[in-house]
Amino acid sequence: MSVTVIAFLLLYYVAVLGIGYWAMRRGAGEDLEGYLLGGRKIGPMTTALTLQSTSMSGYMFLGAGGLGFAQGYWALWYAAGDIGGGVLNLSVIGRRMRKLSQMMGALTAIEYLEKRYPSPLVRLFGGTLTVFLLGFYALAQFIAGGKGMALVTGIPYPLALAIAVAVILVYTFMGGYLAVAYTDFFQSLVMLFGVLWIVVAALSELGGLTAANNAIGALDPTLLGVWGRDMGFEGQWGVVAGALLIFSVGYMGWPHVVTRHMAMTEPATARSAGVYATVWNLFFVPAPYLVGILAILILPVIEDPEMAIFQVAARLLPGAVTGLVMAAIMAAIMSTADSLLLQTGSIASRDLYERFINPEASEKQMVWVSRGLVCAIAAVGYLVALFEPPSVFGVVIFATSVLGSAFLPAYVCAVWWPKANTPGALTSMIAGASVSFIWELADLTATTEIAPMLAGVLASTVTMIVVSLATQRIAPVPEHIRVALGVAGSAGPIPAGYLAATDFALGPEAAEIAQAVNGNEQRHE
Amino acid sequence: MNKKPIAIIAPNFDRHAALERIAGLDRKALARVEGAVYYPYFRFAATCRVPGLFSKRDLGAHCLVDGRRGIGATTVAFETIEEAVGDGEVLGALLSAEAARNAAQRFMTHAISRRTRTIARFGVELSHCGVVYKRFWLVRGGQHRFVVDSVTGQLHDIRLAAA
Repeated sequence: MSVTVIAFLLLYYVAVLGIGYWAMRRGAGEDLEGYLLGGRKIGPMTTALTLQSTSMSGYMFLGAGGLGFAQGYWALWYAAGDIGGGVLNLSVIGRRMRKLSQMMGALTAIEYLEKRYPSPLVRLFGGTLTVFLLGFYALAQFIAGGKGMALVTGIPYPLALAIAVAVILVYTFMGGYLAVAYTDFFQSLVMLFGVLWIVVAALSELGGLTAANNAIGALDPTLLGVWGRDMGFEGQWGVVAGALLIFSVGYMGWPHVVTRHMAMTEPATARSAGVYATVWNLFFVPAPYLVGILAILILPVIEDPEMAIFQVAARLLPGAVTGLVMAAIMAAIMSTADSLLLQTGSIASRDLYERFINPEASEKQMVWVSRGLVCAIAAVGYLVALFEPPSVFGVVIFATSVLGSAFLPAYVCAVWWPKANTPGALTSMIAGASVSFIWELADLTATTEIAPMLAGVLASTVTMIVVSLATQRIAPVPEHIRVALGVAGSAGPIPAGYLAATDFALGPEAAEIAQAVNGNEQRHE
Repeated sequence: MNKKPIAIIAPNFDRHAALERIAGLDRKALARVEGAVYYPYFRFAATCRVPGLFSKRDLGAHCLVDGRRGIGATTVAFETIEEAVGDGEVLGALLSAEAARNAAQRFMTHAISRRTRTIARFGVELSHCGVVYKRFWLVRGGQHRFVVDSVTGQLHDIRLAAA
């Protein structure tokens, strides 16, 4: 156990708890919008970095390094999708989602779905599926956090797990979304510095990238190619498409990521956030994969490839820097875990408890119910994590694939396609979730060479289009939603105060009055 | 300008309150009231007997149908007052009384079955209580122009509505 490493971790924990306390003092928990969306006051840089760090999770330090070590440059297919993911996500969904969610008065990503596709079934199905899958995802992050800390500090796993969960819980409880967003911002910088430090150290050790590539080519030339070790993925475009999709368009279907758009200061924030996200991605995303690839030379024999980055850091870096790197790894895990915990709590409270159990709950009550649920979910997560269920990262990939398959067309069409209606959205969610679930369960990837995410997204997209078009007569999209979609696309910048005060139920009358008033003005001219 | 008396829904937001509503959103933008528009609604009183598991329930509700777009809404009982307004301020109804009654019938049947969660068939009796108007204030706030509902104080940007 290194004192320096523990000192860095302690410093890091104090910093994130301090941010949580600061968010609480800023009044983040005074009302529900403040607690769940930070009062919609999150600027472009924080939006970009919370979006990216939430999406990336501990996978980047465990899974990405392991993949690079096992498959060589083939792993960069995932990075290619991931680098463009942030800007794609913000461009396709960001601006419109920010406007529409406020116009329709939605505070959670699932609530937005019900407002856009009016039916309690949409919220019931979406809410239940999300709570279930995000709960699993959070659980995996807890386990990764506990294991990482136990490995670094040498303290027993149950205690390490308790510390990791407690720190996340305390700052999420105190400051809600504001605390989560600003700790994510801080954590993403720690992640960036940490991983770049390892890359530089690894390249210096091997005499530069060209020398490293020459050495890898001499070991096994297929590791330098685009089809993986021993050409194992040759011609499998379905798998490649899945690798590209999961971290690029896949994000758009993750409710905990969609929430980032809803909390931006204004719709225009999406543009500059896209630039910040791309710059951060360019530096951060390829780095863990590259360290994994370089680990082939640095650590020719390694028991668990997922520990490649940990072990390269421990081997090459001095104690103080190893502490920073370990803090970066904990940051990656915690920045996702806090978002998942808050989202699971908010969806369970707002979309299930308030919507179906106690519709009369006051704002203050709801903040406390939300906090209570965050605590309860963390407690259950801790107890389950103590038993370390097998194949945790398999569960993560499974959960994110099903989430993306179920919600991707529902969210994209919700902001872009005025004909997308309730039956289309509901059947699309059910089809996407079922197909990816069955695909994973029956291991159809082995026979079809198509990833579960790709199969699920195709199924949900086709279902959305076919069912929406077929049911336009019996389930037309309500007028006020059509008006809101038109506004989101064409009205340009709207002052936040005006937008928040606008009541879109008044849309039909306002449209008639606008027509009459504008007609009169034209006649006078 | 010719003035004629019409029945309007008793307003809660006068000219000054409407102005304050917009001025409060952006203190830096100059707000001013540009006038008022009177919007037509067909008013109906609806009664029905809804079959339940053990008995039938008598229900009553008021319904307003937008006189230009035919959109229905339930409403609590409200008072009306007579007011003489200029011809240019009143929007005429585009719907016939018959079309409005059909719209009210459809809307109330749907609204009552949803409220009572019944799937049994039931008839809705409608009595037409005439056309009432609601005053909407036209208020300019900086570069924006709003309609402000004189009953609820709700507002909508005209530019958005026309988009």
